Formats: sequence, structure tokens, C-alpha cells
Amino acid sequence: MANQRAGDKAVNTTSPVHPISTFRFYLVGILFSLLGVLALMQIIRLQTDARAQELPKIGEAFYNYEIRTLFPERGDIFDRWGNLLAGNVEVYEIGVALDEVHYAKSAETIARTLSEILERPGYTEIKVAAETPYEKGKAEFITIADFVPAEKIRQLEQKIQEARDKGSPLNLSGLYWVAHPMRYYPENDLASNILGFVNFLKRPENVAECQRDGDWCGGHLGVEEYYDSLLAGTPIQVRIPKDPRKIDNLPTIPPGSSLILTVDRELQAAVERIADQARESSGAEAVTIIVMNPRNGEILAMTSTPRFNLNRYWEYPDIINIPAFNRAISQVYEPGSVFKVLTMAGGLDSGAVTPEATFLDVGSYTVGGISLHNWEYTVWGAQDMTGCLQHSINTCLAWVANQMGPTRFYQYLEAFGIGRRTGIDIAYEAFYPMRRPGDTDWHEVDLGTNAFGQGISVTPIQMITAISAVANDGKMMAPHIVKAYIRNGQQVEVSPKLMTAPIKPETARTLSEMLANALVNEASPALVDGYRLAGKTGTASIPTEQGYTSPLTNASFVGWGPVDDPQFIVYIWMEKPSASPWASVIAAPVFHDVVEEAVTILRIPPDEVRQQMKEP
Amino acid sequence: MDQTLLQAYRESPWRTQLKWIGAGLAVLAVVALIAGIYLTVSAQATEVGYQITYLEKTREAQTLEIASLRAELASLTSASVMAQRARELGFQPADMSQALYIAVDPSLVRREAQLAPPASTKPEPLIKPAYKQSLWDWMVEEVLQWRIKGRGIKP
Repeated sequence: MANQRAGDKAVNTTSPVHPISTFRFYLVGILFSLLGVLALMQIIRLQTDARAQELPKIGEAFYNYEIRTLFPERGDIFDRWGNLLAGNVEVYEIGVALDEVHYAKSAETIARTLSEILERPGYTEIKVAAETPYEKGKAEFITIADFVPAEKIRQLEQKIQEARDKGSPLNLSGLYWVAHPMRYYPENDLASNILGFVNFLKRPENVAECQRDGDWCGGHLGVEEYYDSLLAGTPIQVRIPKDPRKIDNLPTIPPGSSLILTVDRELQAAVERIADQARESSGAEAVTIIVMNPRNGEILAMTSTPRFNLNRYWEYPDIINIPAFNRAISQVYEPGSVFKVLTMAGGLDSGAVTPEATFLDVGSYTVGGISLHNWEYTVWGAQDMTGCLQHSINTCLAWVANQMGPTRFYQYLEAFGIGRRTGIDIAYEAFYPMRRPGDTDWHEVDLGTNAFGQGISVTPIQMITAISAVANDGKMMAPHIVKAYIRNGQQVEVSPKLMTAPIKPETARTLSEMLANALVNEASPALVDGYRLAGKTGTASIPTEQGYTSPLTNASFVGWGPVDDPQFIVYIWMEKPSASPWASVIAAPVFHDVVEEAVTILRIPPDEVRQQMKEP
Repeated sequence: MDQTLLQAYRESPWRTQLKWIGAGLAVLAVVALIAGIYLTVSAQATEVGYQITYLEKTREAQTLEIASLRAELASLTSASVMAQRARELGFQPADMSQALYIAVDPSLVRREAQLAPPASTKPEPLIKPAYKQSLWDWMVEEVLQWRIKGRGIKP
């Protein structure tokens, strides 16, 4: 207590604290504290504000990193056995850095050296390009040539080395060449209608510009367009540090997916050869052939004339004509009597007729008040349903459709997929809407004409898909061209898809037998020794504005085999043949040739051998 | 008395000076050592960085070359070229009427394309983790490994 007092006394003895000084002291203290609090708040704000957080990233990216877009290698396309149909090759872009050329005065040597190696551009053009005055930001680098083959670059490198060895190195300062991939089709025109092509004159990095110009970009037509995004892969942006100490490994960019097609290269080549021969011998405007496996919808071969060398696609002005590029999927036409297979399938399946049912043909049959006739007004008398198919009697099939009635008839056609796309995985599949009862443009007579394939338009792929149901126990499989794809190092198989089952299995088998018997009965040139085949011809008049007045026809044939275990179905369409209008004369022998090749290439033994092999 | 004791234990000025100089030199040596290590590591990192860049470019070029060679091979074995070569060698198209069929083991039947690379073990990273971790992380990991090994437990 005494001490405290003593202390108090001591305090009192010192000079008294000035009240203003204390206030100033506290004020400064508060100010500094506030500054501290503000600094703390700012730190918290910077740590939590999203926009503020972006700033260092932007700064870092701009000053410390280079943002580069990596484009994956476009995926390859193979046939079902792994033969390459579309791949990539190494080509080069050659250009000059104008400031370096100007500084080193190398334009003359560059022009002379390159013109000796490249076909284009010539000496003068190169020299003019290389002597372009340098302008920062405007004219820094000029591309002299692009898509230069690798061997030309090897020649250039050799030339440089030789000059160096001689002790007089070439002054090529400022000349640069950079490799990049280019799409390449090693089979040239093989399967060109299926594949489509890549507009490789537009490189992936120029796609935005290409799209702005309204030009083709990436894959065009065929599989190349349909699967463009899958084949092209996904470009990625990577940050590459400018500081070499910070360089890490670049992320591995997965290549675009590769596709394995259902196509058999050897069969495709054979079918194309047959199509070319058929076109030449028949004088047809175009020939289309499809070979499909009816069991799973796999397209084994598909061609349509003309074909194109895909490595020089720019040389074909017709290539931009979409229906003509692949008639098998993009061109609709009135199929004629091959359509009778569907009418008869519906008639038998619905119970409207039986195979034994008899039709008395008197040469005409009236539907909707209009009289319908057979080809060249022939009269066949009493015929069972096999006879109707064998002689392709229009009046008989009109009668079958009439027996079914319009509702059931069109229900069956719908079930067969007529009037809509099959969904095949090739770009630009066409379809023609089917007119049905109730539509303003449908008339009662259409029931009769549609029954024999007149007044109704289809594509060859629609026809082969629909009729494949007859070959495949009533089940219609979705046609497809891609068998598997390889993505991220894994092969993914594409499962066959059942579209629908428009008819019962027994109907399908009965009709197959009827069509096989019809071929045998007429000793068709479509038959192949050792194999039981089913098939139907189709000769269709071509409608004009004045009606069916043109002497020109569309000759078609559909057939499959072996009848007891169908492994292929073939569809042939010959457009406006001049040698003969008849499908039985023109198209049936083509079917024969295709089947002969198909059984050899697909290794299908004759029926007798197969039966022996089945026996234990 | 106090002064005398203090003086007795106080070092002579020149010794103190020498000590300070020694300490300063030691600090300088440590700094120089750290700077030397830093420079060496930086130089190595830079070299490795350039090597990585070079190897990446080499990989890109080789990928392109492989694709090119694959396409060239496909071109040399294309359907038309093979058919031509077969004709030149005297082969003729197969005649089905003369074909002889024999039963073969299913394993001998031609198989459809399986082009995906075979499944392999996890690929080794291009840069080992040791090059990416700090000295402290490395030490902690090593100690942990040592302790695990000491206990006889497999990591």
C-alpha cells in the first residue's frame, strides 16, 4: 500500500500528460489500426473475389505461358479385315520469315532452290513473295506452298546437305518448313461413295474461317461427314510455359476415333468392277449395287457409279451433287416390280392370300375406277401366287393389295419402313414421303399402282432393308456401315439393331421359297450353280410430266441366298439402260456375277457342301 | 569489482571482430552454396525443359511419320495393286466350280479386325514424381517408406 502511494507520488512528480497529445496518439493508433483492418479486408477480398482471382491467372497466362491449341490426329477408317481405307500422310507447309530474309538477303537463293524442287509456285512467284517488305504485325511470314509431299522436303534437305558438304552452304535464312497431316485414301476411288472425303485443303485450325466462308469444312459426304466429330476428335488448349524450367510434359492428346467399317474390301472391289462392266455393257446412266448381310444389317459392299478418286476430289465438279454421289442412299426412284415382294409379304402375312390362291389374269384389273394393265398388255390366265411373282403380273399384285384393303396394305408398308429413312450411318440419306389414304394427293387407284411399285418412291437402301426382312425370318435389321470404333485405345463393337419385325417368320420362309421357285421356273440368268437363291426383278417405267410415256426404264433386281441360311442380300439398280429395258435381261446377270464373287470372297460353300459339313 | 570481473570474461576487441568476420564469411559461404545449388538445379531444370520440348516435337513428328508409313503401306497393298501383282505372278480368279472345301479348325478361320492396342499395365509417367516434388515432400516420403519397410509392411 505504501509502495503504491509512493508510486502515485512519483507519477505526480513527473510533467502532467497533455490531453491533446494523448488524443493525437490514440488518433494515430486508430488510423493505423484502420489501415491494418482495411489491408486485412482487402486481402480477404482478393482471396475470395472470383474476378480478382482471375487477374493473376490472366497475367500469368499472358506473360509466362503460351496458349496453344492441339488438334488430334484424324482417326483412320478400315474395312472389316483391317485394311486401311482412309488415313493420314505427312505433308509440309513452306514459308518465309520476311525480316530474316530481308536481313540475310536470301530471297534469290530461296526462290532458285525451291523452284527446282517444287512444281508450283515458280521462281518469280517465290521471289516476289520472299521479297515482300516486312511489316510488323501485318506482313511477317508468308506461306509459299502448303501440302508439299514429304519426299520434296527430303530433296530440299539433301540439297542443303550437299551444298554444305561442298563448302558452299546455301543462304536459305528465313526459310521454314513445318509438317502437318493430310487426309489420304490409299485405295483412291474404292468405296468412295461410302467414305466421302475430307476437305483437307482447309486445315483444322482454319475451320472457323472455313465455316465463315460457307465452304466445306472437315468431312464431307459419306462416313467422313456422318462421323466427322468422332473422327476429328476434340482439340485441346494447353498452356506451355515460356520459362523452360517450368516445362512439364504436354498432355497426351488422344487421336480421333478410328472406324472399322462392315465393308469387305475385296467384295467392294469386285462389286465396283461388276458395276463398271454392267454400266458399260448396258449403256445405263448409272449402276447401283448394295450387298448386305440380312442377319445383322451389315453393309458388305455398296457402290454407285460414278466413283471419285478421293485424293483429288476437287477435280470432280459432280462431287457436290449429293444424290449422285451415292445413289444407293441419296437418290429416290420408283422401283417397279421388286416392290411386289413387299406387297406379297403383306398379303401372305395378313392372310389376305395364300401361296396357292389363284388369280385369273385377263390382262387388266380395275382399282378406283381405273383399269390397270400388265407390261405390254400381256395376259397370263390363271396363276397361283408363285406364278404371279414369276411372271411379275401387275394385275395380280393389285388384286392382292385390294384383298388386303388400303389400311392393312399401308400398315405393312409402314412396317417395312417405306416413306422414312432407314437411319443408315452415312450422310445425306434421302427418303420420299409415302402417300397414304386420307392424304389429299392419295387416290384409290394408288392402292393398285403402289402394289407393283409405281407411284411410290424409295431409295435402294430402303428397298434392300425392307426386303431383308423376308430373307431374315421376318426381322428387319438396321442397316449400318460402322462395325466398330476405336476410342481411347479401346475397340467398341457396334451391336446390330433390330428395327422391327413386319412379318411372321413362317411368312418370310414361305415367300423366300416362292421367290426361289419363281427363279428356277423361269430359268433366270440370276441363278448360280450350286446355290439356291431367291430373287425378283423389277422393270419400272420412268414417270415424266406427261405420265409414263418414256421408253426408258429403271431395271432393278433383289435377291438373296442361300435360301436355307441367307448370308447376303443383293440389290441392283440400273438407271435407264439402253441395251435392253428389261431387268431380267440386264439386271439379273449382274446379280449372278455379284453372287459368284460374293460366295467366293465370303467363303460360302455350295448348298451340297454345307449340308455335308452340317452332318455329324 | 564488477568491472574487473566483466573485463576478465570479455573477449579482446580483435577476437570479437574476427568472430564477426568469420560469421559473415560463413553466412556468405552458405548464401554462395545455396546460390550455387539453385543455379545448378535451375540449369538442370532448363536443360530438362528443353529436352522435354525436343522430345515432344520428336514424338509429334514420329506419330506423323508412323501414320504416313501406314498409309504408304496401305497404298502398296491396296486392292488394285494386289490384284495387279497377283495377275503378274500368274494367279487367276478363283473358280468356284473347282473349289475344294475342307473342314478346318475354327482358330484358323480369318478373324475380323481387332485393331485396338492390347490392354497393358498403367503406363509409366513421362516425368518421375521425384522431379516434381519438393525436398521436404521427398524426405517425408522416404521416411514413410523407411518406416513401412521397417515394420515389414509392403507399401
